[in-house]
Amino acid sequence: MMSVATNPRTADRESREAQRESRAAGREPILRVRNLKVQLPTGDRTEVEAVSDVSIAVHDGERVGIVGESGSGKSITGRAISGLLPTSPRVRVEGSIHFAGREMNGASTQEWDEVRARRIGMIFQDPLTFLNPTMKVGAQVAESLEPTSRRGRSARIAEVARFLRLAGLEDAEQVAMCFPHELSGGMRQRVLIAIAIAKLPDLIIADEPTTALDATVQARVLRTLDDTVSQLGNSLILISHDIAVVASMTDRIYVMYNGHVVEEGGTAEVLARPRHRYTQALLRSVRSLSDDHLDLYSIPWELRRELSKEVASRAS
Amino acid sequence: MTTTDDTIVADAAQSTQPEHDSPAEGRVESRLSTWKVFLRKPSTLIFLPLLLIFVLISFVGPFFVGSPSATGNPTLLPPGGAFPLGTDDLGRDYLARVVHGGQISLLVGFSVALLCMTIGVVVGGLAGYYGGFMDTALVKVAEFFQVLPGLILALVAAALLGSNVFIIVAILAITMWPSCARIVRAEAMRISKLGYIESAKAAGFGGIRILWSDVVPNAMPPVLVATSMTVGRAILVESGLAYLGIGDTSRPSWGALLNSAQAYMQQAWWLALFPGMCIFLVVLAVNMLGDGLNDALNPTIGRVK
Repeated sequence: MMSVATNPRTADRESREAQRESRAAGREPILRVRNLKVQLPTGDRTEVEAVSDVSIAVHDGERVGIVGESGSGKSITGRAISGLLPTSPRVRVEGSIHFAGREMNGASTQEWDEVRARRIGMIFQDPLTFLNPTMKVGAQVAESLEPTSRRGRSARIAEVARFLRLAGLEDAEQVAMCFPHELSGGMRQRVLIAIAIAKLPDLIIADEPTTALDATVQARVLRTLDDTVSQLGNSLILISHDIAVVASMTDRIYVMYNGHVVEEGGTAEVLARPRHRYTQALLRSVRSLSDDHLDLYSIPWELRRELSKEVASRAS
Repeated sequence: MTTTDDTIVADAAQSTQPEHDSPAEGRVESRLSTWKVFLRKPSTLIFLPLLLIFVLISFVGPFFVGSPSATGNPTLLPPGGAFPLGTDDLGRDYLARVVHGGQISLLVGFSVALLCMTIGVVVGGLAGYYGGFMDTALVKVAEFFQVLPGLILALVAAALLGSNVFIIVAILAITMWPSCARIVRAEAMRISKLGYIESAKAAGFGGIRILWSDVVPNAMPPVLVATSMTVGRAILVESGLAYLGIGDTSRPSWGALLNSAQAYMQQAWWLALFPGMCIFLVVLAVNMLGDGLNDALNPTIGRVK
């Protein structure tokens, strides 16, 4: 197995190491989101509050899951954390996004680019559309290598192959010479993982990383993601509607409904003893899918109405 | 591999649909490089040599033929004998005139097309990718140049600066680039909403870098086709200007030859036929090659061997 230690250390890396140690001493999380509110335009004059009052903390090396159904605001939360919300004066982000000692809400594009270039890796849902179709896969991985390991063609090729292999692509040299459309969905998703880890980020945000893949490939890609995160020791935010996926890979979990975090806690704890009615209903509907003895369960409208009221009362 | 085999390979490659059928995980299909795909297309095999012959004749040929303006020979001599393409109304060697004329026509055609493409990619790319104020401002600039009356501009410039081939190129490029910019802008607007642009932003790349390495390469296919059309259009517009006497009269272009042939259409068919055929074949070859390059540049078409 290859390790990160072979990578040439840069001054940047050392200072990040020092920061990590000081955070560990003070039990300071690498990412702390406080009272995040995101308003998105829906029409010419109307806005919707996609995320209201979300607070999230992620420590170094911790894996955090965000679950919720479609429209619960989990992806928007992920995008806000990586500064990838549309840049329009009508998109309003309130609250605090504190990442590695810096307040990022309201940060300039340059500051965001700096953080995204070296410290936050993103893995998106649809692996085809998220790769440049006119660029060879290897070149796309090379783009996110650390500047020091980018020098020299042969060193670069070796580094690219190393990260592709780390992402579970055995024919790394051959894959590097391919265009995205020549690879299968699973391979493309592994390429996206390689791109995300190649910059050795402190935090990886995986937004529905396996939703576009079929179930068997899904399991293998998740295992790869799991392995790479363990090897590199970075933090992970896994965003998914699939509670089973999140359950198998995370330490802590946030359950979101309608833009609010309705329950949070240790993953095992929340799954074994869900306190909130929404989490209970969500778990019941997932279990009814896999268990033949249970009737298919979907969250009833009465519960949704009550939840909406509860959420509305919180907001005011 | 023989030529026949190559053609079959190219045909088979062309019939491959640009679908996203996934090969099994872990398997990698072999593929051809952009240049190989381009060079193996049947249309390339015909039109690339044709274009090269015209370039060769026009730029090397002048050293082997006589002066295009030497008079004193019998006038309106039909093709054959000492004058393979005959002589014109003043008794000048028509072969020499056609060969020299090619230099001007090709120079104008290609430099105008390249200039239009360059300006169009920069302006259209910036406008389409950044949008907002940048877009509004650049579109207005493009519209300004598009409505400039090219002919009058050419007349004025010729009067003020004298008429030579570089001024003709500049004027044609100034009036023709907006149509290319429009195409690039539309493509850039479409592409900037795609996932890989978000990927690039997530990788922390700045706007100019994303524009150059993600937006422009993906916007190129329609731009190349438009550029190949521009070559033909520039050659034809130049001939219109030549008709008005703008341009170097001592070295007439194909367009100028064609125009002065009008008066002798009844007696001397060769005066119109040869420059006309040259323009037609060059424009055809450039368009076919542009089309082929478009297919070859698109990595999703015709790649799997």
